[in-house]
Amino acid sequence: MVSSHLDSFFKTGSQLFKSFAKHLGGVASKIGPRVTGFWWQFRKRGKWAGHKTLESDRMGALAHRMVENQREVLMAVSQVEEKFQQASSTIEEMASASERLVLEADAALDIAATTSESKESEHVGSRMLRWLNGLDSLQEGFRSVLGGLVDHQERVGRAMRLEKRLDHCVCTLQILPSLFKIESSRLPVEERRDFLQLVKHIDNIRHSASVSLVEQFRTVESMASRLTHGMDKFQPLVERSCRKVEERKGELERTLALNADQLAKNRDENQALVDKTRQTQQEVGRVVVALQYQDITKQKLDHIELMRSEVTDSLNIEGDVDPDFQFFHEAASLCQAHVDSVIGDLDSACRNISEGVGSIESSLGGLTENFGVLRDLSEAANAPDGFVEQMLSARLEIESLSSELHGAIIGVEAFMSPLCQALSELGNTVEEIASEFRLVALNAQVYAAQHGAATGLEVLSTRTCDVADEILEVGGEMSNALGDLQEGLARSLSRCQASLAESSELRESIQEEGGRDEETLHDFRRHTTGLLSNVSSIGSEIRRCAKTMNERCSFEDTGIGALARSRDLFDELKVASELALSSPLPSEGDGATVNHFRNYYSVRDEIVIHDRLFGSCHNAESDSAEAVLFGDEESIALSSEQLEGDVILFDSEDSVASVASNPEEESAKKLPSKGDVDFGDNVELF
Amino acid sequence: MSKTIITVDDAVTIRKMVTFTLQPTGHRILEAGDGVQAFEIIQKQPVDLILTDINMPNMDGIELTRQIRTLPAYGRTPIILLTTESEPNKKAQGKEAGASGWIVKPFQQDQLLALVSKVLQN
Repeated sequence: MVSSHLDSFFKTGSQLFKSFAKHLGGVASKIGPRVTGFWWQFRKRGKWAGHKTLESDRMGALAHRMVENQREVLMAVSQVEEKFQQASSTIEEMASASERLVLEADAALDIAATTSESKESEHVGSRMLRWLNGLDSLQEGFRSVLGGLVDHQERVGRAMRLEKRLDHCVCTLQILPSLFKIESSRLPVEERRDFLQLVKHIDNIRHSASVSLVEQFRTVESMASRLTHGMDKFQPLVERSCRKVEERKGELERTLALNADQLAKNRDENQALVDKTRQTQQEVGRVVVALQYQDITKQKLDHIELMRSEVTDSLNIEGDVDPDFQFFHEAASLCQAHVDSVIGDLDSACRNISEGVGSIESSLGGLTENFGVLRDLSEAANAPDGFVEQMLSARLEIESLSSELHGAIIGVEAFMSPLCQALSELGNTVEEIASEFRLVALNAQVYAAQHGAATGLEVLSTRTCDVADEILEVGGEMSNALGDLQEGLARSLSRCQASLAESSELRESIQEEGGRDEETLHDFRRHTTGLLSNVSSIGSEIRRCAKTMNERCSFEDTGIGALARSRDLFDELKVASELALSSPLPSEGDGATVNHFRNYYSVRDEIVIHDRLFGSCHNAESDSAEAVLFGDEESIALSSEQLEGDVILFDSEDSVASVASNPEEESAKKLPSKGDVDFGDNVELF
Repeated sequence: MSKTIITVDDAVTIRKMVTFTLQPTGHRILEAGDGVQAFEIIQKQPVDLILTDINMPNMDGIELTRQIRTLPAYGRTPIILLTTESEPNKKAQGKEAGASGWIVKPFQQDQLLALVSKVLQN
C-alpha cells in the first residue's frame, strides 16, 4: 500500500515537473526575442540619451539583486535534492534489509525441510516464505520508486537551472520599467509614446512570468511536503515490519532447535527399540526351548514309570525264601516303596508341569495374537487421517491386553505356588530316599563282612552310595530351581504392575495431547513399543523360569535318572542276597538285622536305635559294623577305626561319612552349569 | 513364495512350538499327531517339507519316512527328523529310510529357521 501510494505520489510530481518545465520553456521562448529586441533598443536609446554612466550603475545594482535571488532558488533546489537523497538512502536500506531477510528465510526453510517430521515447523516456514515473498515484492516496488525519484531529481535540477536563468531575466525586467520611465521623459514626444508602449508590454510579460513561477514554486513545495509526510508514515511501517520479521525468525529458530532435539531423541529411541526387539526375539527363542524341555521331561518320566514297573516285576518273588534273602528282599521292597512314592510325586509334579505348560502355551498364543494386534494397530496408527482416534482405540486395547496378561501372571503364580510346595516335599522325600539307600549299602557291607560275600557286595554298596549321592543332588537342584522360579515370578509381577501404571499415564497423556497430531503420534509409537516390550519381557520371565526348572530336572543328570537306574541295583541286590545265602551265617545275626531294619524305618530319626542294634548282636565286630549303619558321625568314625585292616569294604566309609557330614558341598561339585548346554551340533543334513 | 510344511509329533507342545517358529515366515503349517495321520494328510494335499518326530504311537517317524518315500510325488521332498534321539544307529536308520536331515530336540528357533530355509531352497 505504501509502495503504491509513493508511486502515485511521484508520478503526480513528475507530471507537475514536466508541465512546469514545459511552461518555463514556453515563457522563455516568448520572452527571449522580445527582451533581446528591447535590449538593443535600450542601448540605442541610451547612447542616444548620453546617460551611459548612470544606467551602468543602476544595472549593476539590479544584477546584484538578481544574484541574491538566484542563490535563494539554489538553496531551495538543494533542499529538495537533500530530501530526495534521504528518501533514496532509506529505500536502499530497506531493500538491503529485505534481501537479508529473504536469505535468512531461505536458510530457515532449508533447515525446516531437513526437519520434515514437524508439521509445525513446515507451517511456520511456509508462512515465513509467503511473508518474505511479499516483502520481496515490496522491495521491488521500492526500487521502482527509487528509480522514479532519481529521474524526478534530474528533471527538477534541469527545471531549476532554467528557472534560474528566467529569474535573472524577470528581476531585470522588474527594474527596467522604472528606468525606462525615467529615461522616456528625456525622449522626444513621438518616440516617448512608442517607448512607453514597449515598456508596458515588457511589464505585462514580466508579470505573467512571475505569477507562473510563483505557482510552480508552490507546487514544488507542496510536493516536497507530501513527500516528507509520506516518508514519515512509511518509515514506522517498515520498522514494524522488520520487528515482526525478527520475531518470526526467532520463533522459527526455536522451533527448529526443538525439532532437532526431538529428532536426536527419536534416533536414540529407535535404536533402543531395535535392541529391545532383538532381546525379545532371543527371549522368545528361550521360551521355545523351555517348552520343549518340559515335553521331553514328560517323556522321560513316562520312561521312569515303565522302569518302575519292571523293578516291581523283578522284585515280585514267589515261594519260600531264606531269612537272609528275605532281609534283602524286604530292604529292597522298602526302598522300592519309597521309590514308588518319589515317582508318584514326580508324576504328580509332571502333571502339574503339564498344566503349567498348557497355561504358558495359552499365554504364548495370547502373546502371539497380541503381537499381531499391536502390529496392525501400529500400521493403522501410521495412516495420515484419523490416527488420533485410532491411537486412543489402540491404547484401550493395549491396556486390556496388559490387564489380561496381569491376570494370567497371577494365575501362573497361583498355579506355581502349590507346585513349588509339592516340589519342596518331593525334595525332602528324595533326601530320605538317599539316606535309606546309604543304609542299604552299609548294611550290605556289614553282611559282606559277616558272611564272606565281600567282593560282590562291595561293588553293590559303592554303586548304591553313588545313587544316594545323585539323589542328594536332586534335592539341591530342586531347591535352587524353586528359588529361581519364585524370584522370577516376583520380578514378573512387579514389571507387569509397572506396565499397567505406565499404561494409565499414557492414556491421560494421549487424551491431553490428542490435538497435537505429530507429537501424539510420536508418543504413541514410543509408549506402545515400550509397553509391548514390557509385555514380552514378562512372558519371557515366565518362560525363563520354566526353562530353568526343566533344566534342573533334566533326566540324565539328576536323581530322577538315578532312580531309574536303581532298577539295576535292585537286581544286583537280589544276586548279592543269593550269594550271601551260600555262605555260613551266624545264628542270630540275620533275623536280628531284619528286625533292626524294620525298627529303623519305624523310629529312624531316633538315636535309641543304637541300643537296639547293639543289644541284638553278640559279635563285637558286627556290633561295631552295624553301629556304622545307623549311628551319627562320631560313631561312624569310631567304627572305622575299629574295623580298619579287618574288612576291606570299609575303605569307602570315610567318603560315605564325608558325604553324610557335608552333602551340599559334595553335591555342588556335580551341578551342571548353563555353559554345558550346547546346541551347535544338533543339526545334521544327510 | 509360500510353502506347505507339516509337523508330525505326538506332543502338542512341540507341534505348537514348530508352528510358532515357522508361521512368521509366511509358510502354511499343517500338524499331525502321529505317522498315520500325517501319511493321510500328505496323500490328500501336496506338502513341501515334513518335520517329524521318531517316537510316536501308531506309526513312528522312521516308518513314516519309509512310507512317504514310496509315494512317487514325494521322492525328493525333504524330510527332517525332529527328535530327542541322537544315537548314531538311530541316525543311520533315519538316513536309510530316506530322511533328508536330523535336528535334535530341544531345537533353537534360529537353527530350525535356517534349516527349513536351506532345504526349501534346495
